[in-house]
Amino acid sequence: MPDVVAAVRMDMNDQEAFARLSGDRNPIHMDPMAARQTQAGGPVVHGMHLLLWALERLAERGVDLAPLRAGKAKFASFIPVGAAVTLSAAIDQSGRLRLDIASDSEVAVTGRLDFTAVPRRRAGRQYQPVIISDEAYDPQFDRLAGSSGRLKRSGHALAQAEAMFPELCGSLGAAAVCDMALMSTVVGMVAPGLNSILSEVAFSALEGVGSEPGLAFAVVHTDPRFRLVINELEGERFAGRATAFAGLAAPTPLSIRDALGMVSIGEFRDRRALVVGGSRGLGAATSVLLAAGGANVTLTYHRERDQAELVASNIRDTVGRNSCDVIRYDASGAAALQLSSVAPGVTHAYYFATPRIFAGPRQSYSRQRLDHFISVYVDGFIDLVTALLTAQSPRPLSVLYPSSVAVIERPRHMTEYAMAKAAGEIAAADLAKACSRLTIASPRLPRVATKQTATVPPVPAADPSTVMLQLLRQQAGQKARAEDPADLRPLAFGAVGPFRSCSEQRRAK
Amino acid sequence: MNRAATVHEMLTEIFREVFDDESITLEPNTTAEDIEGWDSQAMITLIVAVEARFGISFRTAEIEQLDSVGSFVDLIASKWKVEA
Repeated sequence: MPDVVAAVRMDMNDQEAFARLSGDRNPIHMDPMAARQTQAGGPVVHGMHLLLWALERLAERGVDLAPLRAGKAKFASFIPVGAAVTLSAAIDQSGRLRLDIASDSEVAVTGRLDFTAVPRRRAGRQYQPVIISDEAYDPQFDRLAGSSGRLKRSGHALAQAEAMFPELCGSLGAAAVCDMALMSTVVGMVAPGLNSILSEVAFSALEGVGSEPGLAFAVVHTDPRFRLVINELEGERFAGRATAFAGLAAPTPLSIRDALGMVSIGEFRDRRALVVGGSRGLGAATSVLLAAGGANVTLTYHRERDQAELVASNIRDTVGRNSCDVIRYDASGAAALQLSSVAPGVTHAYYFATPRIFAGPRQSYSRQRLDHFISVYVDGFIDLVTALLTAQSPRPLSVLYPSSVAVIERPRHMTEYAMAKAAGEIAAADLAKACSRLTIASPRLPRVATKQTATVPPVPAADPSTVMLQLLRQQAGQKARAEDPADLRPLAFGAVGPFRSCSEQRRAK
Repeated sequence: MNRAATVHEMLTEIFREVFDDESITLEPNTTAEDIEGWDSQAMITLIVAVEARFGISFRTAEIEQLDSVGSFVDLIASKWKVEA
């Protein structure tokens, strides 16, 4: 690909503008909190918005798009809202215009434009109108096959298209731009709807002009093995075919009632537990299992207070008002200060703090990304353990540091994650070696089904509650001893971050 | 042309279509590392295209075993009932 021809950074105002044009208000694009719960890890730009943006920039630079007859775009990875995006373009040997839309030095969208194809004949089938509401449909996968309808464009869609893509509307007509925008809406709002990921769109110009505004769709193929959904599309000016994946709904969190059926009565009653990152995924399952077994739990959240309160109220309603506290905790901030409101006597700590792991395009290695992971998986962990040891002295402390099979399995694009987890294991082992009243288990957890690991296509993942219960029980067998000054050994890397050895902590008190 | 060679040729056409690249040539030991864009999404597109073209279907366990063009050709040839 030759030089970059345009660059942009889409913000939430751009998201809103495209949603006004298309009606695609899927929360993965529009709701930062909800998007954080998806595999994207945060709001991402609509793929069709990127394609239309690229076409507009080409038109601005003098590329005559009026004779555009067909095209194809593949959406390989998410582009987060706010990320720097670049467009490169080149003519290939067949005379087709090729586009690369990249972010973070990795191509996320590839496109091909064809100016020589013959316009397609209009099928002109009649479909029932489908009203686009603000809420994405969430149909069951096995009911998608054969569904069809016609999305009506909104009353202001044509004007919005003219405002956002004036050059493109000049070349292709605003109705054609609306057709393309609605292709996003079919996938994101209707079929497969809420948990969808657009994979590919192929489009062709149609003969003549359609009599009805809007975009007809029909689900022509579904494949439950991959949760694949293919829609045939026909608009006013363009027809197309959209390939998408129906993502998996977020796994249902473990309820306290289910947890009560899994644990023995009172099996964790001697634990005062601090669960860092206890508002979701593994952390939430851990909080619920511990509470069900009689532990007193303080769970922490970073951003999702409502989520944390939901987990806590679920626990309190069933096992008692004083069984669970909630505090805000930022693993990259000073631990001692943040833990000042936690009642003394914590016996067990669980460290599920995690930055976003899976989303976005990526280079093969980024020092910045490694530093980001290290700050949470190593520095933040050491700071937490140090603060707890100081606060709890001389009582013993048992800590669970969840490492990952990624350390040995090394999935693609997870280099920095695996490196940081390996570093965290070493830090955990050396921390425990240096302090006799500290026990740290750092099991390499399998890929477990959480919102953050839900993938398209689905990848087998273990049930978080089963995995965690086993670990919590193993932890019971590892008894740390109360501090014996004679056992204290100097710590080899006492200078790392805020860490001080046990003896240093004692001196500081 | 023997059966495996026919499958190989048809599979090459499918790869060229899916990756939109007429210059792709396949060897039995070609893997995802050798073809730009051969990721999990592209693999699904390939599987769906192969199943449609050959009129066959793969089980999930069989798909998980596919690690090279050679294993792809062998699996297709073992299921394809129509003689070329």
